[in-house]
Amino acid sequence: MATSADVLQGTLDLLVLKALSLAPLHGWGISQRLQQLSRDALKVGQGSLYPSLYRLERKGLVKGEWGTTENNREAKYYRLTAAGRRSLADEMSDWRQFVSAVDLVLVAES
Amino acid sequence: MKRARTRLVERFHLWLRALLFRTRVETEMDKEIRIHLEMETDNNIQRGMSPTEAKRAALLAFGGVEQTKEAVRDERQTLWLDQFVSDLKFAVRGFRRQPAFAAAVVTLIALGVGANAAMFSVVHHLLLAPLPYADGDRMVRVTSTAGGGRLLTSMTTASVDRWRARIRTIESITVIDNRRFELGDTARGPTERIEGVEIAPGTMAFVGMRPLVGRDIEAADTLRDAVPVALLSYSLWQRVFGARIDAIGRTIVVNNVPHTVIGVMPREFSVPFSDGAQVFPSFRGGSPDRSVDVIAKLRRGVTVETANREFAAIFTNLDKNRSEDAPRVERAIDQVPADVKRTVYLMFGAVGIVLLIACANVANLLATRAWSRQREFAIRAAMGAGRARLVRQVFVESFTLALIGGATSIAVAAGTLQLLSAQSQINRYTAGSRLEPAVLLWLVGVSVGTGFLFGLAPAIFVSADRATEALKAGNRSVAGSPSARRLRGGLVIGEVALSVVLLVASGLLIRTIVAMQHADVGFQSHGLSGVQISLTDKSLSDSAARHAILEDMLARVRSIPGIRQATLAVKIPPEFVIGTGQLEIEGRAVLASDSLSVLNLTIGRPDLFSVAGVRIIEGRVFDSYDVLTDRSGEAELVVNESFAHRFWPDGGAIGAKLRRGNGSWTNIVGIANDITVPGADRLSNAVQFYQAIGASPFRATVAFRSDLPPAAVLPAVTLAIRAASARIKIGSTVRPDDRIAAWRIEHTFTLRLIGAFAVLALLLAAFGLHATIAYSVAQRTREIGIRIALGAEAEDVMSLVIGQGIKLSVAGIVVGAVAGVLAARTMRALLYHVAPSDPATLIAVSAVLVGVAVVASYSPARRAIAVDPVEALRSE
Repeated sequence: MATSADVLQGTLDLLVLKALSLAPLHGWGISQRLQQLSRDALKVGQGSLYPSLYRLERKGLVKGEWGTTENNREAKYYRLTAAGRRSLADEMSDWRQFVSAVDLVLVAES
Repeated sequence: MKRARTRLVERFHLWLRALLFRTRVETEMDKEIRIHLEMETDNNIQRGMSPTEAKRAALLAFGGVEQTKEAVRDERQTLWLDQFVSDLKFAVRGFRRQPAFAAAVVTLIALGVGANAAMFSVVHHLLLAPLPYADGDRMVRVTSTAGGGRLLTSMTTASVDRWRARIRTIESITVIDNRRFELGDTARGPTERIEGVEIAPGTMAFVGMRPLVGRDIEAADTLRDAVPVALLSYSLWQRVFGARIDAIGRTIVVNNVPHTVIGVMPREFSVPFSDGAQVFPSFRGGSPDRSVDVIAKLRRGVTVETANREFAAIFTNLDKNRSEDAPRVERAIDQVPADVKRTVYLMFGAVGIVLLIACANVANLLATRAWSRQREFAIRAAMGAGRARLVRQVFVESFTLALIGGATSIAVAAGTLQLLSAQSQINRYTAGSRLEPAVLLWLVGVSVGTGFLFGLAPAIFVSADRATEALKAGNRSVAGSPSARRLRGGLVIGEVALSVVLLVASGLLIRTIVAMQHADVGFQSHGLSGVQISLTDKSLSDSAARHAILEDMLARVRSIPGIRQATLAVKIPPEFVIGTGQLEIEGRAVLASDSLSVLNLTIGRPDLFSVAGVRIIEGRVFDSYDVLTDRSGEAELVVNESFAHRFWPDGGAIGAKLRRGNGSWTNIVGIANDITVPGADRLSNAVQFYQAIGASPFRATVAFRSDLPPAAVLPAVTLAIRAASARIKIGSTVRPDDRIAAWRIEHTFTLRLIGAFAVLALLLAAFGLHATIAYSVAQRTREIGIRIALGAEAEDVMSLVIGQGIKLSVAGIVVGAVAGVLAARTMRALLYHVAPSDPATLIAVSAVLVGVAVVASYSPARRAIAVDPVEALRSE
């Protein structure tokens, strides 16, 4: 893919949950993981992660705790809560349905 | 279920933490973002960038740091508080920078809201919650009248007992006697007159209160031989006994009878319908015919009408005196005379209008300020403040101003109330008006409401996204945009229109008062005076001697230079004597009409007609009493025009015979013109009968007509009376002119208040006009410069600017005239010989407003012609 796409509104929360599903991460780590997972195809404004994280924390889907990085730096690590894990599963299936529905439409067009 | 709850608890915890430890959370967020940027920078350096480049790239990748923080705060939801605090700080800083602006706004609001709250407290006290008791809305006063309500009579203890046994719609009924008492021992020194209420056992239960200290009045206290006891008001207890508990059992002398103090009432206690009473002696013994005031409590759900119907129904089944009516119940609100209610409503409307004008003015000021701050708004928008955020900022500012103004308005309201209670004519009704909780609540509500109203204008401006345009366009084009001008113009037109409404009302009142002053009242009040005398001294008990003294006195009075005529009457017009007894016309069935059981009489000597200037239209004046037999005059009377017309519409009144009650028959010998005093609706066609005064009355009024002012002849009249006999007691002086003026008091008082509000409104509107024109001149400096450069004369520029002011004011006048005529219809009852759409008033008001527009735009116009075209063109 030559150009990178802006993240769709509302999907960022899903991506953040997915990024955290493997291991707890700090903010910068999440941005790196997203880039890595999407093979640089998704352009996430790094700053926009934070409102998303706070939103998720408020909903009780993630929990933030201060910890230390391997470079001995203080950082706030976010991990998925049980609710977060459930929500991730739900949203992933929703997303798949949505994508396949859109796909169907697009195939019919062509 | 449980999970949901823990989540809720957690959320609440987060929110609370954010709220309480706002700074900590804020630093945490700062720290988190800083660390993020450091990590990204390190990463960039590892990928081979220079440190500065790495940092720049990190910032770029992150996006706006401030926007992010703002967005995070948004998510945290304590945002409103943060923003509120910062908006508040910002607003206060802004006001500090422009103290004159802030002071102007606060003053406008304080005046508007303060006057409004004062009037509301009158409305509240008088009409909304007149009786501050738990069952206040069910408490009524039972009144008895005669002659179809024209004569107030009193009920007796015996009749109350009879009613108590029969009436079903009333839950409880109790007697009180509200009067003035002499406090103190006359033998010991000066006494004091205070208001008091004699109460019966059960009055406390009726009100639902208990004495603060001591005991209540009991049945035993009312026995004829019981020791007289009294309860004290809280204030009297403090004043006389220094609030000492041992006041109980001590003695106070009331009406020269020592009373034992048995208790003290709480501070907020008062007997319904008897405000201001300070001492509450117990009823004692007394005859069953003793007249009393009666208060009662309606059963729950019973209306005044139902209760009155029951009273009337029972009444018709009872033996009754023909002249008496069935008792009626009245709520406190029914006791407020219609004219007082009218005045209060009018005032309330007037202060509402003043408040609206003040609001419009403040809106105008705020809008101007918003327009001059468009760069600031634009910059804030560019820095990440959303439109909603800017609107909120504007509203925080206007609400802050409104609340400061509201707080200041408390003083204005208190002052206004003080002023109102200094007006003796209405203080009876306004005296109890206080800034009570309900009024303060109203005040806060009105302040917030005004804050919203005048915050709208700048908010509309901000939200219309003009701010961002402003950055692009520079200052001129936006502020001068048609919609901005329309808004400002609309506000000013509204202000002018509202002040027109008040001016029209004032103008109509002025016309009414003038018409009243010139009205033909049916007698010559001007120059007429009276002095009340009484000849009750024992030495004057011989009627022949009394007659001689009176004749001598009249001769002396008549010989005073400046006095043309003098005579005797019981009362002189426009006052009259009330006579009772059913009227009977010979040859007709007994007239059952209630209005004929109470008659208005003027009793005087035959020459009273010429002294008072009452004309005899037909027939002749009655004869005077014969001195020796003391008879003939009794047999003749004069009736007024209305009376004659009522019973003899085709003429023929003269010669008819009448009698009252079981009195002797009298002949109608003449018809006099009606006496009508404008403003005194109840008294129109006041006097129905004229009859002769006895040859040697014990009490009379010396009526005289003089070309000199009353004050100039009174001393001589007093001397003449004394010279006739030192035994004559001289009472008060009666001046018909003053009496008539007193009936106009409602009008003069209303005029004074509405006039004051109208002047205030006019000043505010002038201020608004001036500000708008001045601002528009400032906006159009360039255009004016060009005009001048192109050769426009000073007069052209002047007329351009003043013309704009006149245009705005004419638009306001048109709108206001229509509204004013509509509003004036509601005060029709107050108008006399003036139509609500009186052209003279409308023309005068329009002229005043056009004049004000010219004056208000004069100084901006001067500024406009002083524009230097070169400067003006360069300034853009």
